[in-house]
Amino acid sequence: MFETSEIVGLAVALIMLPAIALARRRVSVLAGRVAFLIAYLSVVAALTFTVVEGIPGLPGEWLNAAEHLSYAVAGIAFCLATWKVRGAVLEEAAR
Amino acid sequence: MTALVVSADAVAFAAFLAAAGIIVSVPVRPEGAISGAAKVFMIVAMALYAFVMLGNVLEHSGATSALDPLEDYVEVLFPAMVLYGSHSLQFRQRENELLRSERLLKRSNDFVVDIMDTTPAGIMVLDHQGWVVFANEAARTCLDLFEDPQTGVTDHPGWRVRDERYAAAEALTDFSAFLDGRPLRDIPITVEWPNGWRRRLLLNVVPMEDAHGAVGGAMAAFVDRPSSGT
Repeated sequence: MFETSEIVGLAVALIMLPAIALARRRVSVLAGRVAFLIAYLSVVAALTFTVVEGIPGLPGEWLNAAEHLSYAVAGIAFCLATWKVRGAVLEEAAR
Repeated sequence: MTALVVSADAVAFAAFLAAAGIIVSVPVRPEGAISGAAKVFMIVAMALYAFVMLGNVLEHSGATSALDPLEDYVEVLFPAMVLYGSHSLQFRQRENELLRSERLLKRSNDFVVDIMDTTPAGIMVLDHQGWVVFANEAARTCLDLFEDPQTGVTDHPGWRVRDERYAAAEALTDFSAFLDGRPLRDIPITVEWPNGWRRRLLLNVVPMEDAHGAVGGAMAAFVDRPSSGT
Protein backbone atom coordinates (compact mmCIF):
# COMPACT_ATOMS: atom_id res chain seq x y z
CA MET A 1 0.00 0.00 0.00
CA PHE A 2 1.04 3.59 -0.58
CA GLU A 3 1.94 5.74 2.38
CA THR A 4 0.93 9.39 2.09
CA SER A 5 4.13 10.62 3.74
CA GLU A 6 6.25 8.75 1.18
CA ILE A 7 4.33 10.30 -1.72
CA VAL A 8 4.66 13.76 -0.17
CA GLY A 9 8.40 13.21 0.32
CA LEU A 10 8.81 12.21 -3.32
CA ALA A 11 6.66 15.13 -4.53
CA VAL A 12 8.70 17.66 -2.54
CA ALA A 13 11.98 16.20 -3.82
CA LEU A 14 10.71 16.26 -7.42
CA ILE A 15 9.33 19.81 -7.17
CA MET A 16 12.66 21.06 -5.86
CA LEU A 17 14.75 19.14 -8.39
CA PRO A 18 14.64 21.78 -11.20
CA ALA A 19 15.36 24.61 -8.76
CA ILE A 20 18.31 22.74 -7.26
CA ALA A 21 19.68 21.74 -10.67
CA LEU A 22 19.36 25.33 -11.92
CA ALA A 23 20.95 26.83 -8.81
CA ARG A 24 23.85 24.40 -9.04
CA ARG A 25 24.33 25.04 -12.75
CA ARG A 26 24.65 28.77 -12.11
CA VAL A 27 27.35 28.27 -9.51
CA SER A 28 30.27 28.27 -11.91
CA VAL A 29 33.05 28.27 -9.35
CA LEU A 30 31.96 25.18 -7.52
CA ALA A 31 33.58 21.80 -8.07
CA GLY A 32 31.67 18.52 -7.70
CA ARG A 33 28.52 19.69 -9.42
CA VAL A 34 28.03 16.44 -11.37
CA ALA A 35 28.58 14.32 -8.26
CA PHE A 36 26.14 16.53 -6.39
CA LEU A 37 23.47 16.14 -9.07
CA ILE A 38 23.99 12.36 -9.19
CA ALA A 39 23.63 12.29 -5.40
CA TYR A 40 20.38 14.25 -5.43
CA LEU A 41 18.98 12.16 -8.30
CA SER A 42 19.85 9.03 -6.32
CA VAL A 43 17.82 10.37 -3.40
CA VAL A 44 14.90 11.02 -5.78
CA ALA A 45 15.33 7.48 -7.15
CA ALA A 46 15.30 6.06 -3.63
CA LEU A 47 12.12 7.96 -2.78
CA THR A 48 10.57 6.71 -6.04
CA PHE A 49 11.45 3.09 -5.20
CA THR A 50 9.93 3.63 -1.75
CA VAL A 51 6.62 4.63 -3.31
CA VAL A 52 6.68 2.08 -6.14
CA GLU A 53 7.45 -0.89 -3.87
CA GLY A 54 3.93 -0.45 -2.45
CA ILE A 55 2.30 -1.24 -5.79
CA PRO A 56 0.82 -4.78 -5.68
CA GLY A 57 2.28 -7.20 -8.22
CA LEU A 58 5.71 -5.56 -8.36
CA PRO A 59 8.75 -7.26 -6.78
CA GLY A 60 8.60 -5.29 -3.53
CA GLU A 61 11.65 -6.92 -1.99
CA TRP A 62 13.88 -6.03 -4.96
CA LEU A 63 12.51 -2.51 -5.11
CA ASN A 64 13.20 -2.13 -1.40
CA ALA A 65 16.79 -3.25 -1.98
CA ALA A 66 17.05 -0.80 -4.89
CA GLU A 67 15.83 1.97 -2.57
CA HIS A 68 18.52 1.30 0.00
CA LEU A 69 21.23 0.86 -2.63
CA SER A 70 20.17 4.23 -4.09
CA TYR A 71 20.67 5.81 -0.66
CA ALA A 72 24.13 4.25 -0.50
CA VAL A 73 24.97 5.67 -3.95
CA ALA A 74 23.58 9.07 -2.86
CA GLY A 75 25.71 9.06 0.29
CA ILE A 76 28.88 8.15 -1.60
CA ALA A 77 28.17 10.75 -4.30
CA PHE A 78 27.51 13.46 -1.68
CA CYS A 79 30.74 12.45 0.01
CA LEU A 80 32.62 12.79 -3.28
CA ALA A 81 30.92 16.11 -4.10
CA THR A 82 31.72 17.65 -0.70
CA TRP A 83 35.30 16.37 -0.91
CA LYS A 84 35.74 18.06 -4.28
CA VAL A 85 34.21 21.27 -2.92
CA ARG A 86 36.60 21.14 0.04
CA GLY A 87 39.56 20.64 -2.31
CA ALA A 88 38.47 23.56 -4.51
CA VAL A 89 37.95 25.86 -1.51
CA LEU A 90 41.36 24.96 -0.03
CA GLU A 91 43.00 25.48 -3.41
CA GLU A 92 41.30 28.86 -3.71
CA ALA A 93 42.46 29.81 -0.22
CA ALA A 94 46.04 28.82 -1.04
CA ARG A 95 46.11 31.11 -4.11
CA MET B 1 18.30 -9.63 0.98
CA THR B 2 18.11 -8.17 4.50
CA ALA B 3 21.88 -8.29 4.75
CA LEU B 4 22.17 -6.35 1.50
CA VAL B 5 19.70 -3.72 2.73
CA VAL B 6 21.42 -3.34 6.10
CA SER B 7 24.85 -3.15 4.42
CA ALA B 8 23.58 -0.48 1.99
CA ASP B 9 22.09 1.49 4.89
CA ALA B 10 25.34 1.22 6.85
CA VAL B 11 27.34 2.46 3.86
CA ALA B 12 24.84 5.29 3.31
CA PHE B 13 24.95 6.25 7.02
CA ALA B 14 28.75 6.35 7.02
CA ALA B 15 28.84 8.28 3.74
CA PHE B 16 26.29 10.93 4.78
CA LEU B 17 28.04 11.33 8.12
CA ALA B 18 31.40 11.66 6.35
CA ALA B 19 29.89 14.21 3.94
CA ALA B 20 28.65 16.26 6.91
CA GLY B 21 32.10 16.02 8.49
CA ILE B 22 33.82 17.10 5.28
CA ILE B 23 31.57 20.16 5.02
CA VAL B 24 32.34 21.03 8.65
CA SER B 25 36.04 21.05 7.72
CA VAL B 26 35.54 23.42 4.75
CA PRO B 27 36.90 26.84 5.75
CA VAL B 28 34.60 29.84 5.31
CA ARG B 29 36.45 32.98 4.26
CA PRO B 30 35.22 36.45 3.34
CA GLU B 31 34.71 36.43 -0.45
CA GLY B 32 35.34 32.68 -0.55
CA ALA B 33 33.18 30.36 -2.68
CA ILE B 34 31.38 28.98 0.37
CA SER B 35 29.30 31.17 2.64
CA GLY B 36 28.51 30.36 6.26
CA ALA B 37 24.81 29.95 5.41
CA ALA B 38 25.53 27.47 2.60
CA LYS B 39 27.79 25.49 4.91
CA VAL B 40 25.18 25.29 7.67
CA PHE B 41 22.39 24.24 5.29
CA MET B 42 24.52 21.52 3.71
CA ILE B 43 25.68 20.21 7.09
CA VAL B 44 22.05 20.03 8.24
CA ALA B 45 21.02 18.28 5.00
CA MET B 46 23.75 15.62 5.33
CA ALA B 47 23.09 15.17 9.04
CA LEU B 48 19.37 14.70 8.37
CA TYR B 49 20.02 11.86 5.96
CA ALA B 50 22.66 10.35 8.24
CA PHE B 51 19.88 10.27 10.83
CA VAL B 52 17.49 8.58 8.37
CA MET B 53 20.12 6.00 7.48
CA LEU B 54 20.85 5.34 11.15
CA GLY B 55 17.12 4.76 11.67
CA ASN B 56 17.09 2.32 8.72
CA VAL B 57 20.12 0.42 10.02
CA LEU B 58 18.56 0.08 13.47
CA GLU B 59 15.20 -0.93 11.99
CA HIS B 60 16.46 -3.49 9.46
CA SER B 61 18.96 -5.00 11.86
CA GLY B 62 16.08 -5.55 14.27
CA ALA B 63 17.45 -3.29 16.99
CA THR B 64 14.61 -0.72 17.16
CA SER B 65 12.03 1.03 14.99
CA ALA B 66 11.80 4.01 17.32
CA LEU B 67 13.29 6.45 14.79
CA ASP B 68 11.01 5.30 11.97
CA PRO B 69 8.15 7.82 12.57
CA LEU B 70 10.62 10.73 12.40
CA GLU B 71 12.19 9.64 9.13
CA ASP B 72 9.31 10.82 6.96
CA TYR B 73 9.54 14.36 8.34
CA VAL B 74 13.29 14.40 7.90
CA GLU B 75 13.00 13.22 4.30
CA VAL B 76 10.70 16.15 3.51
CA LEU B 77 13.15 18.62 5.09
CA PHE B 78 16.13 17.32 3.13
CA PRO B 79 15.34 18.84 -0.34
CA ALA B 80 14.58 22.20 1.30
CA MET B 81 17.96 22.23 3.04
CA VAL B 82 19.75 21.28 -0.18
CA LEU B 83 17.88 24.02 -2.06
CA TYR B 84 18.71 26.64 0.58
CA GLY B 85 22.33 25.53 0.48
CA SER B 86 22.46 25.74 -3.32
CA HIS B 87 20.87 29.18 -3.36
CA SER B 88 23.24 30.40 -0.67
CA LEU B 89 26.15 29.31 -2.87
CA GLN B 90 24.61 31.12 -5.81
CA PHE B 91 24.10 34.32 -3.78
CA ARG B 92 27.68 34.17 -2.57
CA GLN B 93 28.93 33.82 -6.13
CA ARG B 94 26.86 36.82 -7.31
CA GLU B 95 28.03 38.80 -4.30
CA ASN B 96 31.67 38.00 -5.10
CA GLU B 97 31.19 38.90 -8.76
CA LEU B 98 29.70 42.25 -7.75
CA LEU B 99 32.57 42.97 -5.35
CA ARG B 100 35.12 42.11 -8.04
CA SER B 101 33.35 44.32 -10.61
CA GLU B 102 33.14 47.18 -8.12
CA ARG B 103 36.85 46.89 -7.40
CA LEU B 104 37.75 46.79 -11.10
CA LEU B 105 35.52 49.79 -11.76
CA LYS B 106 37.14 51.77 -8.95
CA ARG B 107 40.62 50.87 -10.19
CA SER B 108 39.68 51.91 -13.71
CA ASN B 109 38.15 55.16 -12.39
CA ASP B 110 41.26 55.93 -10.33
CA PHE B 111 43.41 55.28 -13.39
CA VAL B 112 41.41 57.77 -15.50
CA VAL B 113 41.51 60.38 -12.72
CA ASP B 114 45.28 59.91 -12.42
CA ILE B 115 45.69 60.48 -16.16
CA MET B 116 43.51 63.59 -15.99
CA ASP B 117 45.46 64.96 -13.04
CA THR B 118 48.78 64.65 -14.87
CA THR B 119 47.68 66.62 -17.93
CA PRO B 120 48.35 70.41 -17.96
CA ALA B 121 44.97 71.07 -19.63
CA GLY B 122 41.98 71.80 -17.43
CA ILE B 123 39.34 69.06 -17.69
CA MET B 124 35.86 69.38 -16.23
CA VAL B 125 32.61 67.48 -16.24
CA LEU B 126 29.62 69.81 -16.38
CA ASP B 127 26.09 68.92 -15.36
CA HIS B 128 23.07 69.79 -17.49
CA GLN B 129 22.97 73.29 -15.95
CA GLY B 130 26.61 73.98 -16.73
CA TRP B 131 27.89 73.58 -13.17
CA VAL B 132 31.22 71.90 -12.61
CA VAL B 133 30.70 68.49 -11.02
CA PHE B 134 34.23 67.20 -11.56
CA ALA B 135 37.49 68.97 -12.25
CA ASN B 136 41.02 67.69 -12.64
CA GLU B 137 43.97 69.17 -10.77
CA ALA B 138 44.78 71.70 -13.52
CA ALA B 139 41.16 72.93 -13.72
CA ARG B 140 40.88 73.22 -9.96
CA THR B 141 44.10 75.28 -9.79
CA CYS B 142 43.34 77.43 -12.80
CA LEU B 143 39.75 78.30 -11.83
CA ASP B 144 40.20 78.28 -8.03
CA LEU B 145 37.64 75.51 -7.76
CA PHE B 146 37.07 74.00 -4.35
CA GLU B 147 34.89 71.30 -2.92
CA ASP B 148 32.42 72.11 -0.20
CA PRO B 149 33.46 69.72 2.60
CA GLN B 150 29.86 69.48 3.84
CA THR B 151 28.05 68.77 0.57
CA GLY B 152 30.90 67.57 -1.66
CA VAL B 153 29.70 70.01 -4.35
CA THR B 154 32.32 71.75 -6.46
CA ASP B 155 32.11 75.55 -6.19
CA HIS B 156 34.11 78.61 -7.32
CA PRO B 157 34.92 82.04 -5.83
CA GLY B 158 32.28 83.86 -7.88
CA TRP B 159 33.93 84.33 -11.26
CA ARG B 160 31.91 84.81 -14.44
CA VAL B 161 32.45 83.22 -17.84
CA ARG B 162 31.98 85.14 -21.07
CA ASP B 163 31.83 83.67 -24.58
CA GLU B 164 34.05 86.00 -26.60
CA ARG B 165 32.60 84.96 -29.94
CA TYR B 166 29.69 87.28 -29.27
CA ALA B 167 30.29 90.85 -28.19
CA ALA B 168 26.94 91.03 -26.40
CA ALA B 169 27.28 87.67 -24.62
CA GLU B 170 26.26 87.77 -21.00
CA ALA B 171 28.84 86.75 -18.40
CA LEU B 172 27.52 83.77 -16.45
CA THR B 173 28.56 82.06 -13.24
CA ASP B 174 28.43 78.68 -14.98
CA PHE B 175 29.17 77.09 -18.34
CA SER B 176 25.52 76.74 -19.44
CA ALA B 177 26.13 78.97 -22.49
CA PHE B 178 28.20 76.17 -23.99
CA LEU B 179 25.65 73.40 -23.59
CA ASP B 180 23.63 73.42 -26.78
CA GLY B 181 24.07 69.73 -27.51
CA ARG B 182 26.80 70.26 -30.08
CA PRO B 183 30.51 69.74 -29.69
CA LEU B 184 32.44 72.99 -29.56
CA ARG B 185 36.09 73.47 -30.39
CA ASP B 186 38.59 76.24 -29.54
CA ILE B 187 35.99 78.66 -28.19
CA PRO B 188 37.66 81.80 -26.82
CA ILE B 189 36.32 82.57 -23.36
CA THR B 190 37.19 84.93 -20.57
CA VAL B 191 36.80 84.08 -16.92
CA GLU B 192 36.60 87.18 -14.72
CA TRP B 193 37.07 87.03 -10.96
CA PRO B 194 35.14 89.42 -8.63
CA ASN B 195 38.35 91.40 -8.04
CA GLY B 196 38.67 92.10 -11.76
CA TRP B 197 41.38 89.56 -12.48
CA ARG B 198 40.81 87.80 -15.80
CA ARG B 199 41.90 84.63 -17.41
CA ARG B 200 41.59 84.02 -21.14
CA LEU B 201 41.06 80.45 -22.17
CA LEU B 202 40.33 78.26 -25.17
CA LEU B 203 37.47 75.89 -24.43
CA ASN B 204 36.49 72.57 -26.01
CA VAL B 205 33.15 70.97 -25.13
CA VAL B 206 31.80 67.51 -25.91
CA PRO B 207 28.16 66.85 -24.95
CA MET B 208 27.42 63.80 -22.84
CA GLU B 209 24.24 61.78 -22.90
CA ASP B 210 22.37 60.75 -19.79
CA ALA B 211 20.91 57.25 -19.23
CA HIS B 212 17.91 58.11 -21.45
CA GLY B 213 19.96 59.37 -24.41
CA ALA B 214 19.24 63.07 -23.73
CA VAL B 215 22.03 65.64 -23.35
CA GLY B 216 22.87 65.37 -19.68
CA GLY B 217 25.90 67.65 -19.45
CA ALA B 218 29.27 67.86 -21.10
CA MET B 219 32.94 67.11 -20.88
CA ALA B 220 34.93 70.33 -21.18
CA ALA B 221 38.63 70.94 -21.55
CA PHE B 222 40.50 74.22 -21.67
CA VAL B 223 43.97 75.65 -22.06
CA ASP B 224 45.32 79.11 -21.42
CA ARG B 225 45.41 81.58 -24.26
CA PRO B 226 48.50 83.80 -24.59
CA SER B 227 48.36 87.02 -22.56
CA SER B 228 46.12 85.39 -19.98
CA GLY B 229 45.84 87.07 -16.58
CA THR B 230 45.37 90.79 -16.95
